[in-house]
Formats: sequence, structure tokens, C-alpha cells
Amino acid sequence: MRSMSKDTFNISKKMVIPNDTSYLSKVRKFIKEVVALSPMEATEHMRVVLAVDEALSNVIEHAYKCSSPDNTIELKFVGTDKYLSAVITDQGNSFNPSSIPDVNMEDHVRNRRKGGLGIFMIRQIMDEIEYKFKDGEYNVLRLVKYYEERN
Amino acid sequence: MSDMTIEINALSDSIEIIKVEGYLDAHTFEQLDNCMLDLFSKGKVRLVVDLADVDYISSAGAGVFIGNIGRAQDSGGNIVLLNPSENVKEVFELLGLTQIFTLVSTKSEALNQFN
Repeated sequence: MRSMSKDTFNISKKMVIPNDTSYLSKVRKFIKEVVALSPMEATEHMRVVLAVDEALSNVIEHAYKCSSPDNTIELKFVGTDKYLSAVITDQGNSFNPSSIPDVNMEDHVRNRRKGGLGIFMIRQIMDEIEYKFKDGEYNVLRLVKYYEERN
Repeated sequence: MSDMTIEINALSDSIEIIKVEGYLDAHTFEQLDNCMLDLFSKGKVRLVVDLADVDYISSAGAGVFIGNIGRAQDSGGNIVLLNPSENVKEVFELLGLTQIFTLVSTKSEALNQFN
């Protein structure tokens, strides 16, 4: 559903994907298409694709712990004339991104750590990150990117 | 079509070049990680990774280099990254990796890093 008038932009797009990393490339195509519909600066498009991809990868690895592909993840975009938000919902283990500390890259290299970079990446890109464990059953992660820099 | 392909060739007597094509993400990173660990187990620790045809990299993909560069350097080698696209470079910048890795644009520059 998309409607646009002189001063407003509204968009709502949804995709449900299996809990399987093999679907990530298809989802990135979907994200790219949605982002391209928004008034966001082209230079930000790839970054937003990356941030949402990181969030979905985290759900598969941490919330669902790479379990059955029968588990699903819902990705819903809502766009207004000021921002684009991605809401990611899953029924895996509770996984609060705010509990993850920032990364010291030199320590990472020294300790030969390969993972644990996704949340750091999302924080670098998105303007708001909200997490809720809804009804004791659903992880709901909302990532927001404003079109103009906010002070 | 596979999301990623890897080809390994000798760049010199003691340097291997790993050509990666496609997407380096949470789905494919283990393939590259296993490839590097296999080379290390054979004593091949001087590696050039050709990223010219990597269309996309996520933190899982970058993590392969972050987790393995120490292993290569501790054994007297290194991991040099050849020709990353602008998109890939941007991800390295976001992660602060341009301070840690040597990025080069030609094979001869890559070879020079090991002299």
C-alpha cells in the first residue's frame, strides 16, 4: 500500500521469511526496493539494507539459534515523510540488543572473535533502536532511520 | 546459483590469493572461514583476498577477516585485502577496519606488502 501527496509520504510493506540464512539475499532485494521508494538519500540505502540484514541475521543466530526453518520472522516497513522504520518480529528466545556492549575492534582482533558485530553495526547506522518482549512471547525490534540528520 | 564462490590460486611461491565472488554474509561466511582455516593448517598464512567481485558484505563476512588476521600474523603471515568495492569499503569503515587491514588495489601492491 502506498500513497503520496504533495507533503506526505506513507508506505507499509511486509514480508515473512523462514528462519534460514539462505533467504537473506532475497530479503535484501526486498529491503532495497522498499528503501528506494522512500525519500531517503541514495547514499544511505545500502547502509539501511545492511542494518536490517544484520538484525535478521541476529534473530536467526541468537533468537532462534539456527533452529527449524519452520520458524518465521516478520519484517514490516513503515515509512512517513520523516522516517522509515523496520519492525522485526519473531517468537525466538528473548534477545535484547541493548544488553550487548559496544565493540572494541582491537580486542576483537586480539581475541580472534569473528561474531558479535551486528548490533554494533546497527547502532552505527540507525537513529533509533527499540526492543520489546511482547506478551512474553514475541521479540519486537524497531529500527528507525530519519531522512534528515537530527541534532 | 550459489550466493558465493571461492577460488584459490598461488600468487607466488609463498602467497595464496583467494578470489571471492558474490555475497559474503551470514549464510556464506563459514565457507570462507573454513577455506582460510584449511590454508592455515597447511602452513599457508600469507593470504591475499580478492574482493573485487564481492557485491555485498555484512558483519559476519567481515568477521572472518577480523577473527583470522591475528592467526595469520602470529604465524608470520598476513591477510591483505585486494580491490574492495565502494560498498565493501564502506562496511570496513563503519567497523573501523581500515586501520587494521591493508587494502590494496593491484596484485603487485599486494605482493609488496609481504616483502
